[in-house]
Amino acid sequence: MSDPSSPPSTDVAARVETVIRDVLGLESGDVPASSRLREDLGADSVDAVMLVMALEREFKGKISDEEAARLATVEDVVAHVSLRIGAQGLS
Amino acid sequence: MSRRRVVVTGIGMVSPLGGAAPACWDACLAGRAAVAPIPDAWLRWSGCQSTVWAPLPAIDFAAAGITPLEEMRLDRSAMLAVVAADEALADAGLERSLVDVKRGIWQAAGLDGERAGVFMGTAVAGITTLIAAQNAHLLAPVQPLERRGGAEHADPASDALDALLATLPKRFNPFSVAMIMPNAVSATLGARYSLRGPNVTCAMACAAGTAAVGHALRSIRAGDTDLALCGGAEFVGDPFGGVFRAFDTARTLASAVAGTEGANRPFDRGRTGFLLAEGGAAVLVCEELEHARRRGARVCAEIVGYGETFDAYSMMIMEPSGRQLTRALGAALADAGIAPADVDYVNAHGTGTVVNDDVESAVIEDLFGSRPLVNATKSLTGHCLGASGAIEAAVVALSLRDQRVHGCANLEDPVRPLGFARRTTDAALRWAVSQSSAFGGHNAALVMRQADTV
Repeated sequence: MSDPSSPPSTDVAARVETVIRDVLGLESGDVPASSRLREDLGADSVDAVMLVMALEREFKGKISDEEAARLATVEDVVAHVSLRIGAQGLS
Repeated sequence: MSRRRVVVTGIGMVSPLGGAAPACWDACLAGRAAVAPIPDAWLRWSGCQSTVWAPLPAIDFAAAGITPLEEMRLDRSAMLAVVAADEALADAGLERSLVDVKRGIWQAAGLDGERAGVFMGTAVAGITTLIAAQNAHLLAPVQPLERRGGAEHADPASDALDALLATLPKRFNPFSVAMIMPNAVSATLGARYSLRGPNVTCAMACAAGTAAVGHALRSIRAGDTDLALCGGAEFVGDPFGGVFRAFDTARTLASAVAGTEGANRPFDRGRTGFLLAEGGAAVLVCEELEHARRRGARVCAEIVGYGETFDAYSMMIMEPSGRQLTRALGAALADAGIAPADVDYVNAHGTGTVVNDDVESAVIEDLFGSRPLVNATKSLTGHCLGASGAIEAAVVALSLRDQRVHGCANLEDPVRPLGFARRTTDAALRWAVSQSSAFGGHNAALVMRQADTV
């Protein structure tokens, strides 16, 4: 999941980090790419749902429940969005 | 031991008249009524008897601290309640700060949250979220048709389907349950402001807002709480006019045969029904008098009596004798320790339906005679359902503060010779009553008093 064919653009990575910070209420401090959403960043099940909705809103696309279940770390999210983002958003 | 006294120290309001209490109150005093034709698009789905309603103005939700993420998990009724509550807390001088960024939880400085409660009324709570969720559910199999969108079709059915598909969300909202549930408005305010005392929802239709204030009064008097956020919130502006149709089909709504501006005319012999409002919310900060004095709060008015009864007659029409409304008023006056002759101002339920105004005006005449000033705030705001009683309680508090009563819009030929305020009237107001009746059969009445000058 975290091995995209091309490196994610810094723009996508920064936007993903902003979404994660907003959803999880992380105000300061580093969010390393390897951070695990649940264990390291404290995301609960409601946060996980909110994160998917917020990503869909930010990148104007849809993330399936199956895809969402595989997003465990920050770099998973960046990689997924980078792979799937197209001219028409995530779709 | 003397009874604990309860005062209003903060008011917040959103209605078709404006996005904040001063704007709403100014519009009342200026006689600026809210009324507009319903959206043309609704006629795709139903030919309506009524063609007018009272839409909300644009509301600045961000100014009340509602983030785009919160918008995704709050029904519009709860968002309106937050706007009103935020204004009410600021008006009460309760400075608050964000203590949990992720959950959007605030804490008011110097307030013991375990001694503070929430009492909010609503008629239909998260109904527009329910409608949106059901649309998304039912149309999931045909959602791929969305790609057809854009072009006008020859047949109205295709246009209607396109319009519907265009509103469907990408995802069935996973917060739907928490948005639809009737207690969402009260729970949202309790969580948002860290208020951990009683958290109560009064689901009493169009009397809900009045009842919520009354139950806050009782809670504070009983010593269960020292402060309460109380009021009501409603939002029925679904994109397809389905809620409007439900009231329209029941033949309860105002007809625009006399023109849009003249459609909403409570207590006038030419009335035809009520003007449905898109929504609204009012929140009062009610507080035990000594609690308010200790923190130097400004007192707007005092709440001194409450009574409630039930018709046990019909789900949709008032019991013709008005006996139970009279009994609710009697209970509220007795609770306040005053006689009907003491009352200077009656803010009537005044919906503009033929039956309500007939029965209610007879009750007012029998109990109070023609001495007190009488008005109907719904002649200006339209009918905000579960929020209306709260909006009217706020209007009564502001009337007592300013010693001014707003007029009854479009009242030209009164149904009875009561002391109707036809226009804004300056008056010495000591005691005032606000009363509500509701589908189901609920009656509720509040008595309020001018604040002590010392």
